[in-house]
Amino acid sequence: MHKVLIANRGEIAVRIARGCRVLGLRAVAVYSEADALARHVRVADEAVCVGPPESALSYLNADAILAAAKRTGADAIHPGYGFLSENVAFMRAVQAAGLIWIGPPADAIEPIQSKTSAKAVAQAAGVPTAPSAILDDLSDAGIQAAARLVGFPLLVKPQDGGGGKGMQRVNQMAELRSAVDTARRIAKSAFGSDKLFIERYVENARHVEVQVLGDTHGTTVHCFERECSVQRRHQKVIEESPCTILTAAEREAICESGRAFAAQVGYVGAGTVEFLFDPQRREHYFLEMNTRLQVEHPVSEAVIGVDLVVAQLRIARGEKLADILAGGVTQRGHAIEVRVYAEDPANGYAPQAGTLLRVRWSDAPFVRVDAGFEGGDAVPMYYDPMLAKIIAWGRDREEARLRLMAALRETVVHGVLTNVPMLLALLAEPTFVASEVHTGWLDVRYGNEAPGMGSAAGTTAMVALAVAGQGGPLATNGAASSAAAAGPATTDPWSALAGWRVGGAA
Amino acid sequence: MKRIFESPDSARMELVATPSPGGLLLSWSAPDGKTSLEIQARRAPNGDWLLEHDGITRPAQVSIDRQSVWVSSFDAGDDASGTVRFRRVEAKRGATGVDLGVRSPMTGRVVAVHVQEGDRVEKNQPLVVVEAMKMEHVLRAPRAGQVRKVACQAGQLVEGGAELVELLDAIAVT
Repeated sequence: MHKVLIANRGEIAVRIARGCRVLGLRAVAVYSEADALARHVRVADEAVCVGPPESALSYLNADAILAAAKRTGADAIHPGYGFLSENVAFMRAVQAAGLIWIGPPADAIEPIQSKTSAKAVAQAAGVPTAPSAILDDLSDAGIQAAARLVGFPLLVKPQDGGGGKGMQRVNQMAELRSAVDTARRIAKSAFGSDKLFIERYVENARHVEVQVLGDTHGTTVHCFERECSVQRRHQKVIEESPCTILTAAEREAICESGRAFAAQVGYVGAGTVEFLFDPQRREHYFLEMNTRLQVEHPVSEAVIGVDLVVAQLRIARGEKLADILAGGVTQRGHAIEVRVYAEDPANGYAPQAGTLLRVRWSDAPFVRVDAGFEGGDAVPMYYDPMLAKIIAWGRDREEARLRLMAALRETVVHGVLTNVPMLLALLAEPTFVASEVHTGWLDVRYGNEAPGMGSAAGTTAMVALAVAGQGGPLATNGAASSAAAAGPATTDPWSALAGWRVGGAA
Repeated sequence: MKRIFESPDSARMELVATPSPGGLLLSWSAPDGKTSLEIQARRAPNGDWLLEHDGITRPAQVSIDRQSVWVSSFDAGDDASGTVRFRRVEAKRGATGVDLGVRSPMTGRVVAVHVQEGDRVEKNQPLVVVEAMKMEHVLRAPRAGQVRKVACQAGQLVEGGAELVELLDAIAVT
């Protein structure tokens, strides 16, 4: 292995190129026509255009990506996350082309791609799953026996359904009969089948996931856990490691479950096994396995001191975990990550596209910024609007939290609105500070509102605004001056100062 | 150079700017003459501004594009972001003094236009659907009124802030 093609874009493509460089491997970028000047192209050794801006025609275009590997002489492909990273057909095509796939073998992940078969694998590996039961006997006695097996609260779900339709939450036995009848009625009309099952509902669930590594010599290890309970509509917003509410015994149990699941399927490379942790019962249940490098891998890297991308590359070239992780893996301190998005939280979280007029990421001690963009870069409208991840480490959670807030306060992004004010507000929320969050907390607490988006302009900002009117930045800032020149034909934008308003914090 | 400056809290200040070595000397005063402020503004090689008043220097970053001036400084407070966008408001205003334009919140593609010129619309009625990054954003009528102009069509690429529909105030209609 001497040259790696990175089939991705943005911050993760930059991150992988850096991992390649550590090992002296050459990194090949691919790009769409919208990304010809992008940062991930600028940091690579070589780059090949793989198609038009639309992802389906470029970053998801398997033929073009394989052709790019052939043209550059790349002998391995790293998929990053998203795009083709969990596409079994693409994995097989890569292997058929005689290239090294930096990820798990297709045979290992095929049995766990559906939720039901993954659950069966978990049970075979002795990994706990949320108690559930099929409702065959719909008599009062039958459903009550099943409910006693599962426990309350529980969810009644149509077997053939989806999208939450017909799903009924039941808190106690007295509500069971009517919930089952309602669910049957809805399932019958919506899905043409009234077959039902019940499943434990986890109240105040915490999302805890286990980082695992497997090598090609049959060894599987865990690299401890991350917690990602702060989610907006099932999208992770804040990620951290370790999970503060676990006891040492609970941590050992959940991490061993993750390792056992990966070992069961013969997993190779880096992966993540996700669990729900029930803080009342003190139990964990298998959710699913993500068979790729995750967005939030840096919080693990900060706490365990292992470069997970380098580990992936070394595993792919056949090295043993015993050598890669020589000395073992231990947790040290605490790390928290936030994702900086180009979006307008005050406007339904509308994604923002445009030119980044000015960007300044924090370079403070104990802070890491994985950014896909620098000042002057374009944020195209075609892709996920994540600009960067900011990760802070501390000896304890509070130190990490304060460092992360400081890093966000010195973050400057001009040209598109971002969620930075919202992230600052969340990190200051007493519920987050006390680590009393759960997976539904953010949606319940804020709904579609945007916390922290009302901050007013201070005196310095007002003076700076006035300075801007004096032609200074217009005359010397390249990107800004051309944009301004294309603007309305006015020599003095301040002729009517009342014609400007504060358009929300950025 | 003398200008009247209106801050977001509507406090009016008079500003006189005089070129000085390495930057500008800004003199601020309230119309009543009671409060005044003198600020030396210098531009650092990297484009930052350094604003000095009474021997104390404060840094700020400023960027300008067609629709906005972006300003960052540290004085928004410890738990707040220091970046503020000031947006240009088009001069076009209706009888009630509100902005008539319904604007795209983002750069994207118009996927549906639900109204025609002359249509009367209720508050919150969908007008246009814009899509970017696989997310659809429905632009709704901010108030009841009548569509004076439709400035876009389905399939068209539009910039963030572009006016898509011009809406006459309900008052102007009735």
